[in-house]
Amino acid sequence: MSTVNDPVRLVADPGCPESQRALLQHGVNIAPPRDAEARVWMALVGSLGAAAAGGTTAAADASTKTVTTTAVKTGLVSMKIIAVVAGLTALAAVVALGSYVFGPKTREPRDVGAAAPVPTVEAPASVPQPPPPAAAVEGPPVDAPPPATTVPARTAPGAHRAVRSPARRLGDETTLIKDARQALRAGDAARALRLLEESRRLFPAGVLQQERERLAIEALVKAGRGAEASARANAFLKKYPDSPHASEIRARGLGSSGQR
Amino acid sequence: MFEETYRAHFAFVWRSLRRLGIAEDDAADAAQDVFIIVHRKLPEFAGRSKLTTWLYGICFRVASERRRAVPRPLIGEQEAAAFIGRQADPGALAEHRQGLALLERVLDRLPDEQRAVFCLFELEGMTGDEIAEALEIPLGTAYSRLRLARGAFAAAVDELVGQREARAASPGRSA
Repeated sequence: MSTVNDPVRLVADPGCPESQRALLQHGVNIAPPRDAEARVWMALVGSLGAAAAGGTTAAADASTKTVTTTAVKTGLVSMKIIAVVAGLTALAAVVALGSYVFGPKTREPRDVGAAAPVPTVEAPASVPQPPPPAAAVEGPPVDAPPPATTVPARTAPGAHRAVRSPARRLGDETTLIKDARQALRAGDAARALRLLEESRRLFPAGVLQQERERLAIEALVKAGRGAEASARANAFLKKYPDSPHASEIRARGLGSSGQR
Repeated sequence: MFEETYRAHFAFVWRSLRRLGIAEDDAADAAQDVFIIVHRKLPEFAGRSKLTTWLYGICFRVASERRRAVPRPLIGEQEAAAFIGRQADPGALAEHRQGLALLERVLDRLPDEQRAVFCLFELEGMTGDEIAEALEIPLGTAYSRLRLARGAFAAAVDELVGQREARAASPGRSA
């Protein structure tokens, strides 16, 4: 697999100083934190699901558009139709998303190249129902704007809360957190705090509580509200002493030892 | 297909982003951005190249954009090793943590383009051809960037080693 003219790699080159080889070895062994794969997947469910829900016209292709529209108009009854008619890629993807998020953490990766999961086989009996097909994850047209930068149009997260499925709620919760993170990144700590507070109000027992608190602490620091940040950090450390975020909070000196 | 891709290559995307200078606490966000693009573009991928080289191209663009938009956090590499090989003994973990932080500092000195070639070749073990394909550059360019990156890397390591030795020799600084 090596190109003929490739030089010898430094880690395998006896002529390379040990200091360089030793340093490189640390870079070879980078692995994601244990929970990162599931966490990112969960966030993807939120953003991709929300994108599909908020932009059905953009997301649906010509063949499924009519069916989707019908489903939206006639409600639950038509979902069965969708499950049959459009239950090819979209539904399989949705169920896959659901089972990934709600499935056991210890699940081993499946073989690459396996066929798209079949809903009836894939959905474990004990997991929550997958989101309705209206939230189907469909690839938007090639020339559609990237979902990463276009925050999907959506209604206020609380607006349909009573009828939200678990996955839709997760999508809303994720979108709020994502918006808050973007606000924080853009330097608007006040807006981030408002969004996080809204998240706390709407999803007091949400899946992303830890992420929300971590961001809130960061936003408070940036807003110059050090004492509040410190208090919130202490509460976090007390509630989630083993959280992956806990070590970060401690490292920043935001725990009981004081604040920056 | 998307889920399989995600499962099979999440770790690759993660380490690629990290080596491209995305801090650990930002890597989840960046990985999410990568896979949103992957989700959108997977249908047009069509196996024209190796999946990893295609993925790396996306990682490279996402990392470049993020590094421009998000300043590096002060926190640096505080917790990375805590997750890497939990079974390892604390001494080895601490050493690895330090080593990784040091490597990051050295790599930070390289221009993005050189850094990408260097990491793909030296750390990921890709061939010159694969790197050229991933970064959409001629093979000769890949080689010349590797050469430049190696020179800068060696100089930076020498400098760091020199600093460390000077610190160790300096009275009052060595604990």
